[in-house]
Formats: sequence, C-alpha cells, structure tokens
Amino acid sequence: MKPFKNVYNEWVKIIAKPRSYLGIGAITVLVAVIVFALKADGLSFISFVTASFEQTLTFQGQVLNGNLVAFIVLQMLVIHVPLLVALITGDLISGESAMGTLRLLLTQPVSRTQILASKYIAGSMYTALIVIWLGILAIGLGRGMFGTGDLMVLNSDGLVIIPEYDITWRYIGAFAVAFLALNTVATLSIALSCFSDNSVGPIVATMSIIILFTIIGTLDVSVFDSIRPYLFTTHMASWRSFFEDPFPIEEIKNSVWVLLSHQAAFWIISFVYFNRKDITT
Amino acid sequence: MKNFFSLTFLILTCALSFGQNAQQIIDAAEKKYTAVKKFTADVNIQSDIPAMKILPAQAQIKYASPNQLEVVSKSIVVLPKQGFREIQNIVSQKNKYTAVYMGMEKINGKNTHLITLLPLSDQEDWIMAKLWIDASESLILQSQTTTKSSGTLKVKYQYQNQKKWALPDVMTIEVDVQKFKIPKGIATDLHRNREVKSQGNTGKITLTFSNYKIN
Repeated sequence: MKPFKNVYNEWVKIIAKPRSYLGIGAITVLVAVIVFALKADGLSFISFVTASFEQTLTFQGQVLNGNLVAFIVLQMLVIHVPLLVALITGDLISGESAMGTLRLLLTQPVSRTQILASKYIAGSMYTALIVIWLGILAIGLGRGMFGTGDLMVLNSDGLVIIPEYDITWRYIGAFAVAFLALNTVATLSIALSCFSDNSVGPIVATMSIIILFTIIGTLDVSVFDSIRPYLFTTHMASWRSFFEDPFPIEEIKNSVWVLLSHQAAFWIISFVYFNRKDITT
Repeated sequence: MKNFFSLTFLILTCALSFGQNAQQIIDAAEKKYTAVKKFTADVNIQSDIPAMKILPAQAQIKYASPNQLEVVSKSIVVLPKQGFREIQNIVSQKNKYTAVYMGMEKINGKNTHLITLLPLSDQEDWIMAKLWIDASESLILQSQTTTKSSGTLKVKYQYQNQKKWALPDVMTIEVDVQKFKIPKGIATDLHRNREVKSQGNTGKITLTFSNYKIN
C-alpha cells in the first residue's frame, strides 16, 4: 500500500498549493469568455469559416451549437493549457529542492524510483483533472447554452459535417489524446525539474522547448521535414484527427506512439538522473 | 435591297411568332405549379460538393406562394443559395424578360421545348435562363440559370406522384462552387504530407421529396 500512500502524499502536496487552482480558475474564466463571445457574435465567426462556400451555398440548421462551441474552445485552449500544466508539474521536484524538503523526503525508507514514480502519477492525475475540467466546461457549458446538433469542422482539405449521433465517441477519443499530449508536457517538465534547484527554471524551460518545437513544426522549410514528424509538439494537435472523415486511425496511432515514446524517454532520463542526484551539497 | 428587306421581315415574323409560342409554352407550364398555394414535404438531401463531406440529411420543406420557403431540419443541410424555386420566380416576372424559342431537344428520351429567357434590364442578377419543358405534359424537366453572383445553377426535375401540381419527386441541382480557400489560422494542418485529392468545381445536391401535403 506504500506506493499508493506516496502517490496520495504527492497529490495532497499538489492540491495544497494555491497555484494548482490557478490553472482551473484560468480555464474556467477563458471558457466563460469564449462562450460569452460566441453567444454574442458567434454567427459572424461561423460565416468566417464558411465564407468560401457562401457565394453559392447556404447552410441551414443549427450550425452554432454546443458541439461546435466545445470544438472551438478546445482548439483555442489546448495550445495554452501546457503552460498551466507545466506551472504545477515543473515544480514537483525542483520546488522541494528549493525549499530543502527533498533531502528530508529522500531520507524516508522509500526508493528514489518510487518517489519519482509517485510524483509522475500525481502529475498525471493533475493533468487528467485539468483535461476533465476543460471537457466538462467546454461540452457542458456549450451544450447547455447552445443546445446540441451536428458538428461542422473545417479541416485543411475541406469542410466536414459530422452528424450528432457520431460525435460523443470522437470527443472522448479527442480528450484522451489531448490528455496524452498534455501528459507529455507534464513528464517533460518533471524530467527538467530533476535537473534544477529552483521552481522557475523547469517551467520556463518547458515552455521554451514547446515554443521552439512549435516554431520548427510550423515553419514550412524543407530542412525540418525529416524531424518534424518526431517532435511531440507536432502531435499535440492530433486530437483534431478524431473529427476527420475518413477517420485517420493510422495517423492517430502514429501520434499516440510518438507521444508515448517521448514520455518513456523523459521517464528514463529522469529516473537515471534522479537516482544519481547528489542531494548532499 | 428589296430581297434584303423581304428576308428581314420574314426572320422578324418568324422570331415574333416563335416568341409568342415560347411564352405560351411557359404559361402552360406555369399554370400547373401556380395552382400550388402552399405545400409541405419531407425531403432527403444528398450533397456531393467538392471540399465538403456531409452525410445525407432529412429535412422538412414548407412553401407558401409566392416566394416563402422554409427548411426545417435538426441536421445541418447544405442548399444552393439561389432558392430551389429560382426558375419559377424568374418565370413569374413576365415583364422583366424576353422568351426566345430555341427548338426541340430530347431530355431522358422525352421531347422538350428549349426556351431561353433574357432579362430586359442589366440590373437583374441573372444573365440568362434556359428551360426545357416537356412537350406533352408541360412540365419543366430541366432549367439552367446563369447569374452574376453565383455562376450557373442547373436543375433537373423528375416527376412521379405530383405531376398535376408540377411538384417534383427528385430534384438534382448542380451549382458552381468556387475553389475552396481555407482561412488562415482556422485549421491546423497536422498531416501536411497527406495527398489532397483534386477537386472539381461543380457541386451536386439531390433532393428526394416525399409526403407532400399540398394546399
């Protein structure tokens, strides 16, 4: 039962920090602002999306509905949520190191591997909490205020209209992949946290890596073509693939594989380093 | 010179006489559908539009003369911007066009009169309209409207149960669709190496009507 107790202890440490509620509060405010904006002027946003077709075609039915609102919220927020995750997970080890409690923790009759693993699990739980809260707010608030209906999604090769009965499983899959992407950010920041003795460094480093990889991923320069498919940031938007038709199962599997490989690599690096970390100086 | 005037007179006489025939043919067709003051019908809408993936949708159409049309659906449905009774609206404004009889043509094995409508004013959005009217039943079997704003709209009509009201059971609408342009920043291209299939520029929307309730 000791591993569970370790995880519980780490979880208590996370929820005891006021900054843990900053992410939840920020998501709540951002979703509320987006939903309010769409309620006030959502139709002009829709016409911006459908402008290419509207010279000859007209869209009838409830285009602006809760499912579309949830999709827009996800699209707008998933880019920013990594910062909120890194804010907590980047502090898990370096924060203790800065406060001097790491030494005390490592004197307990528990292996370093177990301590690090419990921090990883607690960090993943916090990430899951953020994703679930985002899902509840986006879908719940969206459907509550706008009703439900078919989902109109603009992809790079055209417009896809997904019938209402075919949406829920796509959202579950999309949130699962979004969790995987955010958990990759969490493992990266925990790994960086092992190398630092102050809280700010790993958080800033995590965000810097995400920004750098995102720029490399979006720059349309052929020199990056070979590395782009292996960057985890390239696959952070793969939740969108759940809303494509035909369903790109192979591409999703590839994204999941890349994200899990990154997580494994971060775990290994951090376990190796943390087990040898000098805490005496 | 005398021969030239005789020839001109002959051509004008022929044109005028055919022009009168053209209007009579249109009037005969119009008489059928103007008897419909209102109707409702269930409609299945199948859309095959470049750069758009949409499953067939079910809707209800409510029409009230002369020009009120409402489409009620729980699903998102795509229809041509030019209403699906566009040609009937043009035909009804008799003082705004000239009808020219172009001859006979076969449509699906049926003899039809081909009539071209030309607007009298260049302020109209439509530039030209063509009508293929069944010679034996006075039903519009096909129409083609060329507009300034929306390109060409081609409609094919199939009649079965509501022939006497000139209400079709199946309508196939072909519309010009502009090349799809994606607004920057709206969609991210995750799989940018994916091959994009070549897209045509004509969209096809098939409306299959059932459960007509007329007047």
